[in-house]
Amino acid sequence: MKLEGIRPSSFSGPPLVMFTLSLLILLAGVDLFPTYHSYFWVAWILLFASWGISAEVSGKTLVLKYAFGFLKIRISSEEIEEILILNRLEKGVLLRYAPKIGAVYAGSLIYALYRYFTLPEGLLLGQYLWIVGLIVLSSSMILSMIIPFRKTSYKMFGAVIALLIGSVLLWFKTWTLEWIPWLIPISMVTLLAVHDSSDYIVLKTRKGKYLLTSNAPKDKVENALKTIMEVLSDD
Amino acid sequence: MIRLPESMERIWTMRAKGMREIEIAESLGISRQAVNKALKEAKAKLFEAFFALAETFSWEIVRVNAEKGFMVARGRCGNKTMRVYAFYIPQRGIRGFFGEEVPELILQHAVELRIVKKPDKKELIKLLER
Repeated sequence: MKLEGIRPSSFSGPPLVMFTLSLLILLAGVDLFPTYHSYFWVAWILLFASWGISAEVSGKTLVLKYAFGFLKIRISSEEIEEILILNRLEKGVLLRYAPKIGAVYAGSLIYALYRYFTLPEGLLLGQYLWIVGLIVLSSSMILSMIIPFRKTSYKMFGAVIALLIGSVLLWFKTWTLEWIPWLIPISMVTLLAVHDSSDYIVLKTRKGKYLLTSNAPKDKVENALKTIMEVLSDD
Repeated sequence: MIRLPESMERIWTMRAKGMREIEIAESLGISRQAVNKALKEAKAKLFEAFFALAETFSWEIVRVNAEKGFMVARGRCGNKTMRVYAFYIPQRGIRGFFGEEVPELILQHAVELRIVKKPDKKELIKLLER
């Protein structure tokens, strides 16, 4: 039975590897092969493949589907030791339950900062926008992962600060204001990424943690939770 | 009130206190497979008990941990919506409390099961809520 409105996340295991690879290809590709764009498609395919498609219940097993349905991760009910709805915890932070994705964002932030400080002045605007956009987005994502779910205003404030710092960094490299129109899409992407109203369901097993997300209405999430609870319960 | 069968409860408690399956098997003189089976059944029974409790009182589940035997939920107490914390306590069954009024019995139990290192009520709530 399919869990309506529920999607497994790419915060651990092979999906995280695919996500990290896609990011690495994108970052390295821009630097190493600036005129060769085939790598771009590989990165996008890997990125889409890392996204969870659906979650299903088959008997006493939860099946998480990734990579356009080709990759299936099976979790037996017997393995599950804890179920929690992360966004309902008073002090629940995503980083505690998905530290590896935090490390990926931290890695991309360090890389972007390194690139920013080694980029000479007088290059095309796009090259600065790409690096500063990466700094703003990854730092905002890290902030949103360490701030509790219930503190949405703090997360938004953090993103605004990151955007302001990004603007200053752009100014120091270009000494013009021609990048201002580009701040609108960067701000929109950053604020959308940070303003996360998803439900996060964590399944803790001895092997590791699995994260399911949902943007579905509350009744659908409750139905999915009930189905998972039935799987976990004694017959 | 729901209670685990005595032998199953003993095995579950030993595991919850941090003993490994092989150590439990050796100390009770049974096979490791028997320990594993008892633990699986205990977990399923605890999940079921906590889910049933939440459903009975229309509580919204926040987290259920069958390894250490506790539940965090959101429920109504009078006119207010409050946090509800429930623990499975060996030989007693499920005990719970609203808000931050942690009973001594639960605090001691949380220390015994190594949920918290010392009997600190605030620390226990903090650990359950993060």
